[in-house]
Amino acid sequence: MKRFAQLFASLDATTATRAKVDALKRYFAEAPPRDAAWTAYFLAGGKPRRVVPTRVLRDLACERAGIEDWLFDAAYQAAGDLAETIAYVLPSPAFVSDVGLADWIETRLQPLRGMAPDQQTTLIAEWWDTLESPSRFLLTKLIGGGFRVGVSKLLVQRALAEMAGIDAKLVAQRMMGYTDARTPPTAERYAFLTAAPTMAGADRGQPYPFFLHSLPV
Amino acid sequence: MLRPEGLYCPPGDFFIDPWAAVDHAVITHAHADHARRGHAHYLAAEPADCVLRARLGAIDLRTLPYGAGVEHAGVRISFHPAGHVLGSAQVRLEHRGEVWVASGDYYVAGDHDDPREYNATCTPFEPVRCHCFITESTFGLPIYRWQPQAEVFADIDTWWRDNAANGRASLVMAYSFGKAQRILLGVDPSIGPIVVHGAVEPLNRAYRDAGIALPPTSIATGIDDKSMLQRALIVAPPSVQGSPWTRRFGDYSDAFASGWMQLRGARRRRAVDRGFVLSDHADWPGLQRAIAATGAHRVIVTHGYEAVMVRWLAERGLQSGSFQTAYGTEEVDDEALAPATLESASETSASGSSS
Repeated sequence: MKRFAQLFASLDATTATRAKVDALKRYFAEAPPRDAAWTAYFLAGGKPRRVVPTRVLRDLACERAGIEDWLFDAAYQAAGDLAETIAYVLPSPAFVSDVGLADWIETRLQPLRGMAPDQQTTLIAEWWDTLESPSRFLLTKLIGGGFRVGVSKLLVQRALAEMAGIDAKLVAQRMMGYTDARTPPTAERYAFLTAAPTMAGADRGQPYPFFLHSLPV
Repeated sequence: MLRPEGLYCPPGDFFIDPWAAVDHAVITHAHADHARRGHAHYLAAEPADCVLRARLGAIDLRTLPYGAGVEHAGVRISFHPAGHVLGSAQVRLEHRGEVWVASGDYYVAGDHDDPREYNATCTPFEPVRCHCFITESTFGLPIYRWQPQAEVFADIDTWWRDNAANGRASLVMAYSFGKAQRILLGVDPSIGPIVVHGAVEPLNRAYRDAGIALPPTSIATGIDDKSMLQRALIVAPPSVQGSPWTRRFGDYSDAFASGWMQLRGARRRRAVDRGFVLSDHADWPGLQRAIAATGAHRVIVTHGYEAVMVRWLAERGLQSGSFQTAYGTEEVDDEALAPATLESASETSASGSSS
């Protein structure tokens, strides 16, 4: 999550396309493939579903920070963003743990769905206590369903292509359907995005694999 | 206590940091929104001497060492360290057994006392017991909690090192009095040369004269060697952003150092590559801790989030109120720099007042 938070901060900090692509390349070159798979998913437009209502997150944050509603509202007015307000009103973490993004999503956030509300808030409060503010902010965004970042799908494709030394159009073709919520991103699917070109399937230049792919060519 | 000219002490007939010309002015620190020209007599803490004169020119200034008292019309006045900038002080007033302390601006960070979080460019804040405490509230919201300053300086160093490795200058914008020197003292000078704007260097001199061991710096205007600039850290006031002054650096990365940089919205509005969260004002836990340490039953909140702090304090059983002052953010400070006292008058005026 820390690496993801650093990437998010770099993307958030600059408006320069070159700087964004460089930050993405650096991230994709270093991150474990499982984590990179999820990062590519979110940055290319995959949306996390809201697991917990924002009202619950807000009340929990007030309780954990020991502040009244009106004071939270005053802070929210200044920050203009709920997840950011939550990330900063909470006291500093007692200790910091660094769990990768894929583990966060697959073993923590996805099981959260369908739990009893009490169980959910207990877990979220625990997680907040082990994250620094930038990671807390992202976790809260992921749980609250409001995750957005200032990069386009095209930039993500360009960064992956430059890193792998392949054509960005090829990455774009392979990315079709990547952000479909029904098929979660995996290390394998991610590896395919940046694999060397082959003469099979979509790589031969058939850009529309859906519906047509089962017909004889 | 509040008059149109500023905070007024009736029995002593003097003002604290007045914003209109008065006879007797007691000055907490030399930022331009607190220390203005035109008063007949100035009284300030001893370490503020050089910076006040550097900024205000020839003034009738008397100074007192921290902790030393002087009687003025039955009021005992003394200065106590505020940790904000060099020479910054809280003003303690005692009259017939009643003690008031006016904080000016002060810096206390975190929810417990930790020497690693002191501002190394000046004497750290010392709590003073009083009946009534007049406190600033610049960052008086619970979202403002400063991260350990060692982490901030490490971030600046990493950014500078990366830029230097890529042959790109690193321009960090910071208020020229206080913040600039804090950065200079906090960074690792072995990374490369350090260059400053002409408005920063006179303050550096004052800090060095006061015994603060700032690393060597040179003024940007005198440098022709482009390769040196490509490895350099450049410290300049915020008003240089987008000005012709920055053209000499060619390809550069820019950053802004301020407590306001904690928020994404503020970073985006500033439109710089990096925002470093470095403040010379108390954060939320620092404000609470400083107020509690005074033992005051009455707290008057000035410049910042007055309404929030007043309500918060009232809910904790303290008698609280606010004064509307004319102290701005520090941002005012650089715009208000007096060109006549600076050697780089042309640079300052050329950069205008964009902030």
